[in-house]
Amino acid sequence: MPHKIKKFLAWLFSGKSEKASHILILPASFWLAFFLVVPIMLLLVLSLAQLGPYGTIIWHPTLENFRRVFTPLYVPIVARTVAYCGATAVLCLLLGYPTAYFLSFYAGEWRDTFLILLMIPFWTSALVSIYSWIIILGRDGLMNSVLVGSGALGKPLDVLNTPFSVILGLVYFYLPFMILPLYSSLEKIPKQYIEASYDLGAGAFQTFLKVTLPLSLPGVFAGFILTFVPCLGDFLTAEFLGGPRTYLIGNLIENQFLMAQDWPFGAALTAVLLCAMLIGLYYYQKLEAAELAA
Amino acid sequence: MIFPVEPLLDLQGLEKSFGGTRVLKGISLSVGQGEFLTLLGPSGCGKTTTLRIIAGFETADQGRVFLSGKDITQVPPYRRDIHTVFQHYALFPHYNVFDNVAFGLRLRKMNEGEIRDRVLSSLDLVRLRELEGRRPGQLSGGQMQRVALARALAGRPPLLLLDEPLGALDLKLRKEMQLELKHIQRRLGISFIYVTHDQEEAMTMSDRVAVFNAGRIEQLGAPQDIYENPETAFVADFIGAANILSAEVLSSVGDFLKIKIEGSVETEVPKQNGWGGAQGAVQLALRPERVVVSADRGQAPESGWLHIKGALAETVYLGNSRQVILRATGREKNIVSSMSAEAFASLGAEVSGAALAKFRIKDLVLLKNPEKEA
Ligand SMILES: Nc1ncnc2c1ncn2[C@@H]1O[C@H](COP(=O)(O)OP(=O)(O)O)[C@@H](O)[C@H]1O
Ligand SMILES: [Mg+2]
Repeated sequence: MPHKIKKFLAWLFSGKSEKASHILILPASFWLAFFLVVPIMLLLVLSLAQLGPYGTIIWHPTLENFRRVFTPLYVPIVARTVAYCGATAVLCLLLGYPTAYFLSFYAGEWRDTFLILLMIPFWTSALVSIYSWIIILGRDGLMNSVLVGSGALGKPLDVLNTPFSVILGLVYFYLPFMILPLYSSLEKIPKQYIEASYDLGAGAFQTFLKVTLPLSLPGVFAGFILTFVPCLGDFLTAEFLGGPRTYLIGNLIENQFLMAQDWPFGAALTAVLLCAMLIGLYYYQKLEAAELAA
Repeated sequence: MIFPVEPLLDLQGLEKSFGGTRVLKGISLSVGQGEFLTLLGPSGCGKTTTLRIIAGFETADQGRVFLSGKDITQVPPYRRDIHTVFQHYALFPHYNVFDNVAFGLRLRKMNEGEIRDRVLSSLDLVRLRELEGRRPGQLSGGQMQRVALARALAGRPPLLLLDEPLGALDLKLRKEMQLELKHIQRRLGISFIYVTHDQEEAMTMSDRVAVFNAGRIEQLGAPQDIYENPETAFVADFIGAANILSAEVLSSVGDFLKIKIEGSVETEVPKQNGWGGAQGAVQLALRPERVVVSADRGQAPESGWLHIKGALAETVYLGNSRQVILRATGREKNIVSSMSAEAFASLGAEVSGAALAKFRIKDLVLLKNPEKEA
């Protein structure tokens, strides 16, 4: 009997049998099917239903919800979301590129330490981080205490609930998603290209402009997608660090489900957002495939 | 070599260690205007490191680098008038052939028309004009090699460094490129410092060869000079193979030295090639192609010849020649002879047992004793 088990395990991990591969992927497939595919199906079905009185749902197919998504009423929210997420991605790039460059070219033996420090925000609860920002940025918070206390300012600044605080929060959350792909693409540049550039007479900055930067563009693009796309669905940051003037698509969707009780419309909004994200990820994949082929 | 004018490049006592390991132990050499100098040596002996110090990618721990009389030891690579053809080409993958070759020219604020002329003439030099629009990824190894050469030559530097540039090419292409490189170097009058571990390549291309061994220059001279008068056992063996014989100087009689080779054969040799001052234990080099093997019928050596007795161990077929290996009596190392096909044929099946290695006394080369050096 143990012999049979041994044989079975050897077969399972041989890496050669197609059937074995199916068995290995089975648990994850079930998990994804039940907790991702089924909910998305439900969501799509729901987006085609109608809202009855008191938040009830009438199962009568209609495209009304999708028509509503594209009414002028929501244009400012969509525009604001795109603008905030665009600003977030650009700021992440401006902050992240020097960081990634530092990690790749200067950090030396400290590189792994810095990379781990970079990951720490991932391991803390988002709510804890957000409350920390509230404590720092609030009217009676750390920042204002220091500024007013030191006499630099006459009265406290109202920073919370402004576009500034929301974008700050978003940049804080998504910065690592920019730094890591940038770092990995800078790391991949063979040092001999940089030496060849010096050899031909280019100084350090010329070499950066003509060699390092162009060769790191795949990382820039990947970082942009990996910050911009998830940012589109973010609602926690705007919820806690923002106000009515910083309402984003994520908040609009959250509202349909939790406040307005209009699940079908919320589902339609989600479906449209999901589509936009998938298009972004599709291009990301295509770029990655092209890079692998090169 | 004495330079009538100032040498183009002058290295003085370069020392370099990596993490406590001494990689260069005092490298000094000069390169003349338009000279083709080769750094030859086995892998890991410090050739690339020397080249990288000349290019400015590494800084020597000790020693100085002069270019046209100016001390450039501390000058960064991008301000040195020296270009490199890298071992793995290092063509910029995001530029096409034209832009790769134009890279250095564009940094000099030349106008586009001039740049275009210069790039195309450089591509003509390596016969690749028609590929100007290709990306490096679409080129064969040989083509990449030529583009790398065109790129390094485009700025017409007085000195070009080449680190095993033909190492990745197959034999036939390598032979072709050797001739072409030499031709281009002659035509442009640019000095080349060429790194290789292939002694044949070094011999065919170079004006002078610096033989490297473990971070030192073992011998520096014209290929023929190095081949005919190797100074050390290492050089004798690395360049074209050699039998190294040990001998003892017994006495000095007038114009002759009395020596005992391999503890058995005694002979008198004229004092020449610096034999005069030799004393005690010495080493002699003997080229395999100067050794003839024949059957041992107890014959005495003809005048001017020596015999070493032994037994035939093995013969190796090499196409146009035959390597005959003789196990010498009372000697650890075999004697290797390289015989022409005809000479070997005339030897016939005669030599199955006792055999002789025969050579002329004048073909023995006295080597410097490395122990005495240090
Ligand atoms: N950057 C480096 N760090 C540590 N060791 C090095 C470095 N560069 C070269 N070496 C060592 O120095 C020795 C000489 O290397 P190199 O100059 O490349 O030899 P060659 O080109 O003659 O094969 C080798 O043992 C190599 O491992
Ligand atoms: Mg090397």
